[in-house]
Amino acid sequence: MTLQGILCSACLRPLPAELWSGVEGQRCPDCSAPVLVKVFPAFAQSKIGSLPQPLAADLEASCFYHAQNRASTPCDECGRFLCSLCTLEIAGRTLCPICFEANLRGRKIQDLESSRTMHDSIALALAIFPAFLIWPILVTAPLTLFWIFRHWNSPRSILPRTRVRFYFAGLIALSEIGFIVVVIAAIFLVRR
Amino acid sequence: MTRSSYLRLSPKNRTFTGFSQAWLGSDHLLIVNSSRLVERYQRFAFADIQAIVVAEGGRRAIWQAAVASVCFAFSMWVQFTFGKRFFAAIALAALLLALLDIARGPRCRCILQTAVSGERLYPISRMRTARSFLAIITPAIETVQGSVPVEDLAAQAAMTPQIALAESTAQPPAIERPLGYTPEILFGLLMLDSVLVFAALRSTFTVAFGLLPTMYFAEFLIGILALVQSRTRSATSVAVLIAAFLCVIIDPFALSGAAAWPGVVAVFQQPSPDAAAWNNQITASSTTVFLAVGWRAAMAITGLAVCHFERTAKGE
Repeated sequence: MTLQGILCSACLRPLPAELWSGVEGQRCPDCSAPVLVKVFPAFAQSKIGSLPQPLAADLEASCFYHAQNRASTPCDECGRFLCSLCTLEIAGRTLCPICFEANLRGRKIQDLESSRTMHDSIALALAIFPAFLIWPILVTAPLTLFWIFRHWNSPRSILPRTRVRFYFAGLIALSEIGFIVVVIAAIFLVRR
Repeated sequence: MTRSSYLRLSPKNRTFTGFSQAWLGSDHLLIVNSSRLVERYQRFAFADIQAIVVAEGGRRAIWQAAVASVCFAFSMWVQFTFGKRFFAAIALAALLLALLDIARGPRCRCILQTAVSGERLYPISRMRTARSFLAIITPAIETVQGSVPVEDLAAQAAMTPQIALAESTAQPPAIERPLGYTPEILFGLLMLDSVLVFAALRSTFTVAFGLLPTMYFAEFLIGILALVQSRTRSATSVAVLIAAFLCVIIDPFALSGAAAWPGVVAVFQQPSPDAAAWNNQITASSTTVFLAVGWRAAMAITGLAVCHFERTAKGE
């Protein structure tokens, strides 16, 4: 898909160049919504990618994956020669598709991660919500503690985040276990 | 605390299921969409950002104030205490929301444009946020891309060869949405109701009072649903649907409803309605019964046949 021009975010129709000044108070000619547009030099640059160069002579280094293409750069991880078709620039490094895939699977490069599980939030939810029904805490309180120990060092959010949810979850789970022990002891004592 | 190289660009835009937020990275803009238990990340490299467009959006304060006014009116009108308090509480909540909405400033819709996509930035939902967001991100992008006057950009963009899809270029196959089964459910219900309406009009007021309103409600609800979803249907199907829906609306006032309703009203108007009054037989004429049953059965058979032929023609 190639977008044609700068589009109004309200009506998705192209905005004339007179409105690209980045000044507030201008209105879209189609929907009359007040618009604020910031256009950057990338808009004017060519959208055509660079094509790989064919080998001119037998002595030239060729791409590992495309023997007919001239190599332009080596992979920073495996060292294989790559043509411009196989080159991937990720987080300041040049990778071939195979190393990119390996990094993606191994979660080695943070900039490639598209999602993370918030184990501290899961532990907190596990500690709080079942408590409303009381009896499930028999299972969920120990499970919460297990979850905290199991995921204490698991990668957390890539954004600033403390372990405070883990501490709260642990505190609540311990209180629930204490409550269970007191109830069992009370029943035991009453029966005696 | 997790070591992070990100700087917060916007407050959290909260929804019922989570939130979204914009963060500034060393060479990219990060949009975080969180469902509380899982965070999903979208990254936009500064080098790829072509434009950011912010359009001021509509105001909801008017609707919130309208809801508050209606609820206040209800709280005045309702006689019992619980109702008064209930509507007054809703009105107060709506009024507070309206005031909060006004205090947070005008809403906006922000789109970040790259060479291949236009991405809506949900965290940028207020003009105030948009201004501070642009004030921080514009220098960061210009550090990577440089700064060019807008007039030059427009001139350069006009000269740059664009990869545009010509009209003659082969397009990917259109994805057709499969036909839903709501019309079939409606016509099946009409078939079932033709039996039920016969039973109701040939029995006592108790049976009719329990059966008929439920039938009318179900037919009306599914009829509305079928009409709303009928955009992908053929003209014949839509015509049959409209005819069936008109009959659904007319029937309670002219046929089955008109036959049963006067008797029910008479029972209610008695000073002390006893069981015997409720057990009286409905005195609907044979013509009324025949018409009430007949239109349902006829519409059901016609509708199911039309739907069947439409599916066969589409190869489903």
